[in-house]
Amino acid sequence: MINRRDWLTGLAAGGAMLSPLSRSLMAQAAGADLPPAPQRFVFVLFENGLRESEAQPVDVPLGSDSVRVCSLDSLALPEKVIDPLAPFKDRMTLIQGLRGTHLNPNHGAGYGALSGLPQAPADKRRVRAESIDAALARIAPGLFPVVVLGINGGENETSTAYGISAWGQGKPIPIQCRPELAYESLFGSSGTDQNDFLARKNLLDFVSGDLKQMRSGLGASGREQLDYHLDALESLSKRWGKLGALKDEGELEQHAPQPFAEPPRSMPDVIAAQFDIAAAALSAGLTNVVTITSGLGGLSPNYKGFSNMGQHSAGHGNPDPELGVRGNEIVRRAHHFMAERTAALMTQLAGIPEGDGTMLDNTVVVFMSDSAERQHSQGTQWPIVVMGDLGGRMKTGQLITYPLQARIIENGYGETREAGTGEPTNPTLNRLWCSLLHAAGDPRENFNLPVASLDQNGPLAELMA
Amino acid sequence: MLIATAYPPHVMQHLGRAGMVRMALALAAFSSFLITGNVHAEPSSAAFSATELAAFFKRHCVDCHGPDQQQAKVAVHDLARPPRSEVELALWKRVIGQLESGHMPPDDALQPSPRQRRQAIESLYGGLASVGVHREGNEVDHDALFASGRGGEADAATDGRLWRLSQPAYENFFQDTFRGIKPAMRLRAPWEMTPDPKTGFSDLASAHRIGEAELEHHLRNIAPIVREVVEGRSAPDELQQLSKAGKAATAEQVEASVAAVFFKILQREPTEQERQRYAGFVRKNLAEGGAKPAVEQLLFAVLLHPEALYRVEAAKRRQALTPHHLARAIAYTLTDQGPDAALLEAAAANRLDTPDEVQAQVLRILNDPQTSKLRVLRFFQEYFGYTKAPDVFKDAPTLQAAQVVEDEKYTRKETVWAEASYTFVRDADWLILDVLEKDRHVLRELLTTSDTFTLTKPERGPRPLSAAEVQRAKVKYHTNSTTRGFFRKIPVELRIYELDELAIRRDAWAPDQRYAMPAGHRAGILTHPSWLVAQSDNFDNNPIHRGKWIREKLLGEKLPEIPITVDAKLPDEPHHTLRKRMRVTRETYCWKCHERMDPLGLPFERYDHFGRYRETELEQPVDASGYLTGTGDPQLDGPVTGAVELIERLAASQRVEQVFVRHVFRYFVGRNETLEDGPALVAAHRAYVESDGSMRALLASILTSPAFLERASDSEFNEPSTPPTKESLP
Repeated sequence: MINRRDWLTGLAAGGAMLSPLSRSLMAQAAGADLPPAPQRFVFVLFENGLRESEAQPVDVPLGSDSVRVCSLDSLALPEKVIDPLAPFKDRMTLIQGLRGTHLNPNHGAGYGALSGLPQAPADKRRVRAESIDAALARIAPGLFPVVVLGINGGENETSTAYGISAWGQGKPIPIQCRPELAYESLFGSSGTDQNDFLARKNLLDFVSGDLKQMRSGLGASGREQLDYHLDALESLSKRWGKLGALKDEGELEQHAPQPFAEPPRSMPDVIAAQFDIAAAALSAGLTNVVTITSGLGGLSPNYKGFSNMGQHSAGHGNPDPELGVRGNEIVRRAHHFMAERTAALMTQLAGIPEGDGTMLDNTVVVFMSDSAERQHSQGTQWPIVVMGDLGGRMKTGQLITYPLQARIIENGYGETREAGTGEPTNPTLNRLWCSLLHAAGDPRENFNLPVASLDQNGPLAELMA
Repeated sequence: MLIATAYPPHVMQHLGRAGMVRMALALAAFSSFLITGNVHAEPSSAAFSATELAAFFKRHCVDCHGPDQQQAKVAVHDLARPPRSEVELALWKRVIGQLESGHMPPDDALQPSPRQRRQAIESLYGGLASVGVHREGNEVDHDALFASGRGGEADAATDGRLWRLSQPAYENFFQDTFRGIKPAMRLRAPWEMTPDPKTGFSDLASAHRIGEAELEHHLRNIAPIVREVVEGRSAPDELQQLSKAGKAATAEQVEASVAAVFFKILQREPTEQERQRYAGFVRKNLAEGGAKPAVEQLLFAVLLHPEALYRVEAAKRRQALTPHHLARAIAYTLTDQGPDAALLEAAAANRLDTPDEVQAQVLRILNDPQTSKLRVLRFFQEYFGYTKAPDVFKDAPTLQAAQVVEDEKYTRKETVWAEASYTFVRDADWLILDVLEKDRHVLRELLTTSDTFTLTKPERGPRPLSAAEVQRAKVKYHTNSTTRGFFRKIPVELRIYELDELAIRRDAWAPDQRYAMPAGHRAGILTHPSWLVAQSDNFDNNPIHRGKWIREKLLGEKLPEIPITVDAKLPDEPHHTLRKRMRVTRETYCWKCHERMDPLGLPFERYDHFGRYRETELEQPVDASGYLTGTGDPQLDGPVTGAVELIERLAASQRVEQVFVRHVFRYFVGRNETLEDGPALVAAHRAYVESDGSMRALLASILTSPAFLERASDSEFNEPSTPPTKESLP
């Protein structure tokens, strides 16, 4: 059992795992200086595209012949999708015109969205490179280096999916699609007296015995593999020991969302639950990197709870006979709800003091579709919303437009909107990922795109402070 | 500048140790390393002594790379000792590379005789072995391996080891063990099959580890399974009784539960020691938490047992694998599944004690039409490397300019091409499976046939071939003729194979049938579009990689990595052929290595980088000439007029056959061959030749060699496993 005093001692040593709130309270009480707050990253990705018009401030023309940066101060965010994020306009950079044709985002870019690796359409499900969330998690790993949550509303069978994040080639990071399971792995099972983290710890300590016994029967490389395995067991055991202690101490409970009476199943319920879990995991200091994906890299959600018309019809904009609206409106409602929950998550972080400010000051949120700007996207333009400046390392409160040919298009059922095509020479999405790595203090000049013909090197100058 | 390579910890330990005493280590110490080196050191009369090596350096190297002068920032006067740091290790390897490639000493300097050069190389390898760095791939001298008169008793056992289950083996393990439990049917392994860049093989024993991410993923996989087993009716009776009894459970009930879980998951009974440990664990959990957590923890513990994640092949000094672990080794070597009932029964009845008994089981499994051939197929996929074809992205402008996917809209071209490249891979898979089924002259057939299967890929996307699919497709296309012949446009694949007429004679197409491509246009996998595309770039052919592949995979040679100082770029001259643009590799410095590759790759200019046969390039007749040199075999060396002639010459070579056998050994034994494996390789090659090129005979020979049957370690070890009794088998 860890008591408060031990915590404080651990704090002085800079090693205690405590939630940011407890840390700052403790530091205040002890009159001690805190180690620098960790940087946090939240990626919110959804299917079927974030249309350029849905990310374009009101009354600003979409097209531009050259790189254009304008302040968001006097501009209003467009309705329909991102308006719930309006309170965070001063932390926001809207980006129009990034290129991602090499990622083939038609129906979702799969692993390509966060890895930026050029891929043929059929490659999207193959794990071929590190994704940006994993790269950032490596810089300052939390107790859970990266938490990837999926929204596969209504699909009860899927508990784990793949298709967005990866540690590297051949190393997929599973997407936890069931909020109740995500809850359990982060906060332990609710409603029992048993501390399952400590039970897991005991389990791992027990199974290392089987491995240790065979050590002497192995050659040099076998012993290395065994030691590596033992180290992993030990480090997981430590993690669960800490979680167990935090659970015993009530620290986890304090941050954990309400346990679920019934496992959430409809899409809005799953969205709400996964964002709550993400917010809780961040505010409890369990992780510094969260990815939430509703498309699972493709076209996964069924929109149950928003509509009964089914994913495919909704994506194609067919009419919903029950609601009397088109499918694209259903899709928009789902995205709008995700923006609402993103705003709620940010509000929660903004309420937790950290250093001289709040947790939100050390957090970057990227809100985007893994399908670029529409369902059948070619990736010529990839609208992105970035929020947060990592302590002033990135510029905010601005709209960046890379050269973009704009035109008015009309869909098959009388709606018109402005659409754009980014110039082939525009920066690629990979440069946005380079930017985050630069801001996070692990600059890389190239993120997974070592070819010569695209604009892929270095951070986006317009985004960096 | 040196490339610092990350060496495994055991090497670094050696280096650390060496570092501490380095001042004391003089030249004499090096020779003692050569003599006392561990089992893998390969000192032979072919190697210099330390003094001779020092003299060699002094005579040929030190003037330019010594205390007074360090050209290219390299000094070797200190080299005649075991390497003491990672940087020095890299230097050793670099020096070996320079000596092997003939780059050093430079042409205008005093040259050592070929024998002296070989002796220096050998003693450098000996020094590396003394710190635990063993030869990889073709670094083991081919002629020494197959030297005539080396037919004696094979004596190389394999080190005691852990071999992580492959991705399909892991997934099948859960599907087979927990049939009917949904989470077990759907889970994915925490790792995928990614070929090791050095060997090209994805599943070598020492290449893979299980770390934190993998374990976490594994735990996530097993948690819902454990939950369902505990809550469902599929739990073994013993567990249900334990659940009912709870804290009142008797010692017998606890032990019976342990045994039942071991048997269900690990297919064996626990050893006495395991029985006691696990029973103690169960009793502790019963006392602390009650029946449900105790049962859960027991299931978790056995699912985290090393044997649920690895092939565990430990040994006490040197011994044969115990029957149970041998059964597992046989099964996982030939298939992606654990041992079947017959194999377990043979193990239990001690009918795996002799090589003949092992051979009988190996042939039984290979001859059984129900056996999945996918693990054997994967060897060929990774050996030839053709499955990389879809990785080579061809963009729409390139496809448009080359008029490859003419029938499709511009925006669809890339998609259609990507699908076609998967089809090529699948077609090659089927061809290989067919050659394996016939099992005669396997390598020669794969290198020379002008047949292909076509349009075998029934669904979109990169799904790997599954055994069930092969069966399904065969049944489907033979019983339901209406599904045949549905081409709306001529598929791009048919055009590339030059089988366009199939599109007209639609009824003549079936996915499980061979089609002959035009006579003289193709010769086996190396001219199959899947291989040609895999060995191409985004915008062109890649003769260098093709030549390198032939040198390494067919001729068993080692080529140095591209020197880091070289900015490898061909001139951007769209109006010149690739052959002409490659003139830059003919500069003296480059040509030493490129002469070994380019003339073997250029004959493949007969095909464009989409795998299309062509007579002309840039409106001129294609020059597909090339030549083989430096093999030392007069039957092989000499000019060729094109790829087909080159391949046919190679396919007739005994050395090529032997190099193929080396690769088969590596893949199926899961480690690099060493000189001690020479007799086993000679025997395997003989078995292949005497059986008219039967893959099954070759595998049976390798799986009965000591390398497969025996394990060695340098310490005492108490084998934890007892074989299951016959009565206890399911």
